[in-house]
Amino acid sequence: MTKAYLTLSVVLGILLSPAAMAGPEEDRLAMVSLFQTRFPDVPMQEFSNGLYAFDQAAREQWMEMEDFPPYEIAIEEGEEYFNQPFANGSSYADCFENGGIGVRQNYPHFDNDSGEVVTLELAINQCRTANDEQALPYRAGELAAISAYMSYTSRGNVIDVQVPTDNAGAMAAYESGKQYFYTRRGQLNFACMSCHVQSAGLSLRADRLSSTLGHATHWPVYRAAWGEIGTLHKRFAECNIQVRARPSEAQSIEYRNLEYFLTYMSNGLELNGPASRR
Amino acid sequence: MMNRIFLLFFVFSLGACGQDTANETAPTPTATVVVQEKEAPPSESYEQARASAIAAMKVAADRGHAWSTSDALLEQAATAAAEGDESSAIKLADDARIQAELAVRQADAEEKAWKDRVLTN
Repeated sequence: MTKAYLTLSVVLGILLSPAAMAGPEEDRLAMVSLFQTRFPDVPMQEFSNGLYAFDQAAREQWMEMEDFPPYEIAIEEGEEYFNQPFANGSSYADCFENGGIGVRQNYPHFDNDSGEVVTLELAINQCRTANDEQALPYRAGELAAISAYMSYTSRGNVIDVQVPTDNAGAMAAYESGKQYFYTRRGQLNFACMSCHVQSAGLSLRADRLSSTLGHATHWPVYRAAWGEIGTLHKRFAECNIQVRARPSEAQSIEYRNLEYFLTYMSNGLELNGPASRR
Repeated sequence: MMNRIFLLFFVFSLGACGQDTANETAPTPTATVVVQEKEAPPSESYEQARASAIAAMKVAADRGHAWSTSDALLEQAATAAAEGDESSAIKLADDARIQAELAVRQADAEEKAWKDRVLTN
């Protein structure tokens, strides 16, 4: 979908609906309020553990899996990749604030120069191409490992995604992500919210559905279903496929905008990635 | 596809999607919307069916609402055509087009409908 179409859709949406006009912080507070009401016994930070926050049986299995975390190898490999200098002698550390250590809480952010949302995974590849290295595939593999290492160094840091309300570009990107989140798509006619707001905590076939709150805290994730560590955009694509929609490319504008909205919803929660999931 | 009438349906399904307000907490019965239309005649050739399907799929994709079912059907149509099964190839390609047209309807409906789902305090 083109950027122009996304922008037009967002502008029309803002003009035509009071609910759609709510600002980012109003949206986040409404999200927090819903889940605090629905799960009054779940401490706020626990939402970063997905369905394990409110499914005791699944939590016990997960805790056992965490005794030997399946993502540990990815962290070790990611550290090696991260510290390996490029052919020109530079390294990832030269591309990021604080040498790339403990910075995940600042992603994604809106970049005024490009007029687009920059995710951590995009920034990793931007670092590579700026240093004459080939971009890596976004869904899994080496890039996911580097992302896992960078997440690991950011554990405990509080998500602090900024959507300046006086920045038209940032607001348009946020609103586009919000529209994507609430829009039904695919033959099964599901929106992200259908599962992760409306039905969070309920069962869909054999699975209980996780809450939107905390969705962005723990990526990349080792999913048993994948047998590998993968990025948030790999999961976005999988969700699309599950509702029989054609998935977008990882790091497409629509997925980056969705990540912008989704991560803002988890502002204030501590990062706890990488993580494992079924 | 049935003889004179075919049923176009969105599967407003799998329980959770019957109700559409964000604050609903319980799954609700499936609400299947059935739209009855006069059946369009089958395409005259596989090439025509394929071209129509691709055109409809492009419209859906440009709206950000492409369905993977159209992709799969069109692949199956190509396989049938390669095997010399023209009638199956036409039917599959026509189905791909129909699915794409439904996706466009979804895009039309969602232009406004998404706003009603936005959480508010």
